[in-house]
Amino acid sequence: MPESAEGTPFQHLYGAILLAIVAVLVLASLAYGGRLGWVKVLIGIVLLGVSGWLLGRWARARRGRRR
Amino acid sequence: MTALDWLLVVVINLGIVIYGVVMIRSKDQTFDYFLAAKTLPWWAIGLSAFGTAVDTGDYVAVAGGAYRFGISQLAFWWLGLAVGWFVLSFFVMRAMYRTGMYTNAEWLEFRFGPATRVLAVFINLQSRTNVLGNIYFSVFLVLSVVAGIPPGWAWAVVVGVAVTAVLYIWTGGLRSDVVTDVLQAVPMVVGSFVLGIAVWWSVGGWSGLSAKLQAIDPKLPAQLLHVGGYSPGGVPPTVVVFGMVVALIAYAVINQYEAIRFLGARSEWDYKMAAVVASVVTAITLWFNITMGPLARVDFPALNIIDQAYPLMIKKYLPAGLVGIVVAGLVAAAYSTFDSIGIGLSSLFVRDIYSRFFVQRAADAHYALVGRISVPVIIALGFVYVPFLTSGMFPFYIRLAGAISVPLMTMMLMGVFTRVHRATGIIGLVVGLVYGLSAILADFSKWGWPAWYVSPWWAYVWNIVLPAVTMVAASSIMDRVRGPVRDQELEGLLFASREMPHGQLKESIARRLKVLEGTWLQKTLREAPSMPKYPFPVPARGLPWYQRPERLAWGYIVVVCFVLFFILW
Repeated sequence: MPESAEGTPFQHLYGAILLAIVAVLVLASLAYGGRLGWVKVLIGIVLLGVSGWLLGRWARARRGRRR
Repeated sequence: MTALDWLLVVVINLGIVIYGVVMIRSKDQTFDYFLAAKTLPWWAIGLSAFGTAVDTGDYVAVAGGAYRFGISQLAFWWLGLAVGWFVLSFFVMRAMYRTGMYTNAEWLEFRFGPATRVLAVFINLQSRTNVLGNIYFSVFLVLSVVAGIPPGWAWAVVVGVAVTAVLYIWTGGLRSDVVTDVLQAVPMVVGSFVLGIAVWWSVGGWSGLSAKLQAIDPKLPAQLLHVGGYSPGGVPPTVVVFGMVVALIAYAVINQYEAIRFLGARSEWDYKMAAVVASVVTAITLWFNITMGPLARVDFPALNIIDQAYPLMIKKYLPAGLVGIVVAGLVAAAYSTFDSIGIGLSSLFVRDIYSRFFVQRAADAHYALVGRISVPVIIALGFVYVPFLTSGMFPFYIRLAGAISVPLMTMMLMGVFTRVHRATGIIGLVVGLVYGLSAILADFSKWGWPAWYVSPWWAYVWNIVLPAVTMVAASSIMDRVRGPVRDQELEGLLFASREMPHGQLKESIARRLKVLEGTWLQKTLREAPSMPKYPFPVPARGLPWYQRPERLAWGYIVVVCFVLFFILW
């Protein structure tokens, strides 16, 4: 449901940054102790993966526009 | 809660709010503002319906309810809500969607007259502002118990969440509501899952839970760990479970704030498929929320305020970082319901009260503006209920839903499936409301009336039987006095209405009510676009099974009934 073709890449970039911040915060909480650490690592990795994918889409759209 | 947890709650929720405010804009047209110009796909409607149905109260109050009543509530969420969504999307929605209506109350006037339209608006208003009150209280409990912040500040945060939800509904309408709901559904599901895994792991699974409950009281496992284990005041468990199922069927069928996203679908297939998505996601999430009640009974066997069970479990079992994720999910659940109630009730106010009875011929942009202005007023009304919720939100909701929502559901289903006379709607509805309210009065005043009359669980049975029988009886009398209902009166309004070309149907509906002649309401009905049955071409050999919502819905019902009534009963 993109608002417009122009808006979509920015939405991807926004999503990528937001997810990356959340992933970093979750991983940083490992410093408070290792209890359920595997859950935190799993959440962090999944979020970073989705963030990377969104960033890739944003980069592809940007390259496409320059051409 | 650590500073890092707070940061997670703020980043996740504010991130979604900013996304909704900045990136989604609705045009100043009611078709766009209230129905997202009918562009919504199935997965978005499904996740949005889940986010709308499951609010913070459905983590906190559901766990509180299960703490006292046990897992019988699974019938409520697994079966009742799913069947409600299936009834709505496969049967009730068809006439409203095809005729270009914006609200279910609008359909009620065409089918049963203006009094039913107005009563439906007030019933929606009462039941949804009640839910808003539940959410406010739930968020307050989470903040004060888990985060340990003083009550004044906790209430300030609750108000802040309500105000920011209003912001993105103001700018983006239904589209903004649905997109943010999809995003909010993610922390909701993840949060539920994380707490569930942590607690089940620690308790030692089902057998560990059963053994620990047995050690507290030998009767507890039978009462709390079976769907048929709850039998209050001698009411048979089958009646209790029936009541729970009916409560959520009524929820899905009568509530405009659920219906509006289905009405915004890009095709009929989309809203049917959405019902399947919503049911599956809800079933998974609510398994963890409901079982948190019996699990909390092990750790906190003597809670005075049962709704503290969920927040206390977060505090006991989760480390820093994961507390933030779960609380972010709870706040997201609040947002996803605030916004939906805001847009849903706003559409009812604009179409069914304001433009129907007060300002009938203004420009379309005027009604879009009135819709926007009404959202903050609606959100504020929920605070009226807060003082009544301290004895447990679940019992309060169950009591009112049986008395007020179920008669409306019965009337709507009679209108969709039968040819009862137009004038019988208000008769059936009033009979149901009078019974329901008299049962509440007798119960609260301790008049000593029998349980089969005053029990909230029996009200779910009687409020189907009484309105339905009254409507059939009144209709058969009218058949004799005035003659049977004419086909033209019912054209396009029943589930079994014959297929008509879109233009002919639109014109037939737009001209049906003389009172709408020349009004904005008539204009919008006349201008409603023709929507397809499928969003893609259907192959000659038909759709594969996984694209057939009817088959998926049946599969879901069979599996859930087997688990509820054979494995967990």
